[in-house]
Amino acid sequence: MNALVPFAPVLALSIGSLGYLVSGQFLERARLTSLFALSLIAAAAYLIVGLMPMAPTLPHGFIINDFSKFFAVLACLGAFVSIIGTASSLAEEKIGMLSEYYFLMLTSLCGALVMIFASDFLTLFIGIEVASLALYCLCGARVTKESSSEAALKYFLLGCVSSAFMLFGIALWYGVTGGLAIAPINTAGPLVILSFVLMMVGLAFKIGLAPFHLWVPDVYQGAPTSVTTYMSCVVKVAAFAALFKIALNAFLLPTEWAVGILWFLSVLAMTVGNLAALQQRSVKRMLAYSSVAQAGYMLIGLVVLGDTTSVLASSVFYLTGYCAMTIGAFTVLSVLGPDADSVDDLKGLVKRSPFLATSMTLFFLALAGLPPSMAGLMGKVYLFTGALSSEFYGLAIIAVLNSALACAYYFRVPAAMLFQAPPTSEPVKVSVLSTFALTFCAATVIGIGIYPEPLVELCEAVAAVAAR
Amino acid sequence: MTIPWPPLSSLIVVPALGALVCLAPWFSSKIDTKARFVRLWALGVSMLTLVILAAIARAATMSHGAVLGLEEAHQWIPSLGITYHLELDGLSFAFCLLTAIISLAVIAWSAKPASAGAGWYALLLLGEATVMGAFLATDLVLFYIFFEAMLLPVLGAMALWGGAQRLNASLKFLIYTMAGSALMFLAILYLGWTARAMGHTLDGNFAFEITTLASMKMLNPTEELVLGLAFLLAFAIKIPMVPFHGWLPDTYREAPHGVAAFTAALLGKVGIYAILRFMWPLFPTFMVQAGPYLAAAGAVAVVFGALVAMAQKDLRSLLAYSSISHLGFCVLGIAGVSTMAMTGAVFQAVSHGLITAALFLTVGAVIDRQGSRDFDRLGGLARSIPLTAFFLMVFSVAAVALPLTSSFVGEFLIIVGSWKLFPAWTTVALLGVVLGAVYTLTAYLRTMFGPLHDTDPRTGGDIRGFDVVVLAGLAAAIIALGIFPADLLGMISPAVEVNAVPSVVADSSVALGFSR
Repeated sequence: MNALVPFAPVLALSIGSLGYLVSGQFLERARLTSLFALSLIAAAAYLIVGLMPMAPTLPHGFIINDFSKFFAVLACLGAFVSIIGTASSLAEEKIGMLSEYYFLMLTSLCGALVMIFASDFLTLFIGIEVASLALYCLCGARVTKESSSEAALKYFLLGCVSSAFMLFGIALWYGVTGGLAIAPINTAGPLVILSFVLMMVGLAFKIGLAPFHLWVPDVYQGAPTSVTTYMSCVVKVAAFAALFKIALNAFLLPTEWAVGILWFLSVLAMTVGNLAALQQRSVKRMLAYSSVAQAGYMLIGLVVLGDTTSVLASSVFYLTGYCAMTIGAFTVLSVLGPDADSVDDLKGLVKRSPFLATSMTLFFLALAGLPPSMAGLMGKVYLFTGALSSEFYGLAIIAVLNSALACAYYFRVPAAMLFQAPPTSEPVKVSVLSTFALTFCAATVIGIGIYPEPLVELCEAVAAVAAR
Repeated sequence: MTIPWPPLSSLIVVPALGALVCLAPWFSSKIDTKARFVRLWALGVSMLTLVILAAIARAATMSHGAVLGLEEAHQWIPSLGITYHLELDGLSFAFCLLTAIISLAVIAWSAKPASAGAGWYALLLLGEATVMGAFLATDLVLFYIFFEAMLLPVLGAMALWGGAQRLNASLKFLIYTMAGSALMFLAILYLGWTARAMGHTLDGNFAFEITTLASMKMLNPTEELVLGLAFLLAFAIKIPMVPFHGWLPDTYREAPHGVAAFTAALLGKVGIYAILRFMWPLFPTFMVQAGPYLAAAGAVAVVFGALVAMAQKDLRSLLAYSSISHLGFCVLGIAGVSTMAMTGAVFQAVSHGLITAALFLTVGAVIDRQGSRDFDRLGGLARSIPLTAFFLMVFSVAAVALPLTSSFVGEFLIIVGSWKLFPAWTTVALLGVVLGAVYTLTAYLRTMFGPLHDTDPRTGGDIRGFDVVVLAGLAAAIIALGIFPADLLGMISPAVEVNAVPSVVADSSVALGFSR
């Protein structure tokens, strides 16, 4: 039995979620279903924090350290808050069966946890596929809407291609090393480089880094807002955990060739994301492109990695803050209704719901890196200081110019909400659960900015064990 | 030095909390407050801030003699070496005093946009808090935060209650300032990292505190050049210096009167202040090299602003360009190593803040009454609104730097101080003084005398009640500073000498004897 202890969180989620399939007919009451999902996630988080240190030996296929535990808890927290925030708008979104919806969501979270804990490439790949398959279905969960099915199909087709790249990369790795463990090797032949490139293509797709970001705007826009809220955080967390793990442990960054590839990916993502976001009238597409750009910033910590891992901590820090911002922003959209998407839908929101408008403004200011919600600003201080310390001046300048450029479109949404007349004066009702989730996210983006020290220390500790 | 009581933070916290209280009714419809109470509350808060500032200054001068030098320092983010460090010396004090006075005046001014409620006062108080923070912060990251934050209340008030093109104007303002400060942000981080890389910090961490950084003398000339240019760009846009003034006409045309007064009086001053506080100590070599160019930029701005102001048909645009012209003097004053010119520049900045805010408010009253800001539709108002006309006369005369007004002292010190260093550019700037007199007085004549154009004024009436007190107070401050400048100069001068004048290149022959 002891051997199962390390798998407890994943088991709790997967077995628990089976309950939905068994008792689907009885669990169609909205409150009960969401409560069950939330308690399962809470239990998984508790098991990650509380039980895992008691794991007797290192299990096969899983690695349990501060790094994986931090990302796992972050993924659970993200899923938890996004479910709380969007649970009350599910009815409006006309999601077919609630039990199926939560089953898929928990399954995808389970896959994300496997990705985070995986210590060999096969386990990692299984995690990626479990997480992705569930998400493909979730994207199409709004069965009555065409764009939802389109998003699901697009995500599925492109996702399969990216999985193929990933798998090919893994196969090459197996060919070179004769094993599947994510562990250092001494050679750096062309096959290793090719394997790295292929795996990067696969992961860059999952993260949504340019030039593999083409699915992001369509899926973020087409999928039900509740699903977008969930995946904008959890998928990023899991995929970044996998990327950091592979890059640091298998390919032993920093190596010159890998840094070159990542530098290029990072610059391309932030520039393409920001330039494309400038053009958008749809808030969801804008946030989608902004997520591409933000992922570019998050990559900086890996690109500029010097002889210490402490610059990686800045990426972890930024990712944490970003999760709160993106969950918050999409939760506001989901509260506004299933079809709220254009900037025009947000016009004059401050007159209809000061709370929603204020919290949305805080999230956009955080994304833009402006006070008072300084999670973004502090993240940038941290990231760019790291880039400068490693003498990546070009990257730092491109990044800082990009973040100035981004203000132009981040400004548009608060401007519409605060300074334009509303089309109707009908107040927007915000449910208690959504209020709670939004307050939590807003408090996080402000709190991380004003008192970042504990999180900085935590991230430093996490980054220190990122490489085994 | 010990933390004074009341602490320096209260200068930031009091208006910020006051602003949040103003917003309370906005969040809950159950709290229904009359607009009058909100105004009284905001007035009380800004008055309290002024009193706190006075109390701090008084307590400090009682215990340390004439020289202010108060600090408040706390650890903030030790792992990144960022501290919460505020300092009030004579230099900061002059600008903080200006901030407190201008905020009080703008809040007290009764004319505000029709739809503006509690939010108006909340944004003004937030503006006061953030500008105060920018003038007090000596940790560069903290300064940067306030530098960015002070933009938002102004932007919000302009976008909410501005003219027809308000959203475009706000976006332009935002992009200009963000573009300007982005590179400064990197430069700040570079400084923090260099301090660590050179092993100068005690705990082997980054350092962003200005006195620590300045005392290290760690930059080579190339670094000074690159970082100095990054800083200078941010401040050149904020002041604004001449090729970087693109945002200014739009902003001043679209912003409501109170916001225009606030912006013109305070935001640009942060640039002047920051060049003295941060750039001179951090990049002395660069500043000495850049001096002639800065002086040229200042002198050109004086003349350019005056010439463009002459061509304006719109009262507010005229004020906008005259502001560029007057700020040119400040830039000239901080361009060279001369305690006298620098002290004059600070004094001129304070004086320009008072005068320009007063002008924007008075001109706002004229425009509101007449429903037009166009010279062709204004005229002969001296008979119908004599009190407004009187105050406009006082402030116009102050703007052209007549003796006995504060701007005379400022411009005189700048010209005398800069004469030895940049004779040619000082001469050019002198030409601007003449031009300034021409356009200011012409504008006054065209507005107040001649035939009355509009016989059916919209809102009617002269200024009255509290507004008279506000204008009288500003006029009194301008004249008092003009007649008795020594107290303020005596505070500014030693602070400038300690902070800005690099010891290696100090020119003792132009030192002032203002210290008591």
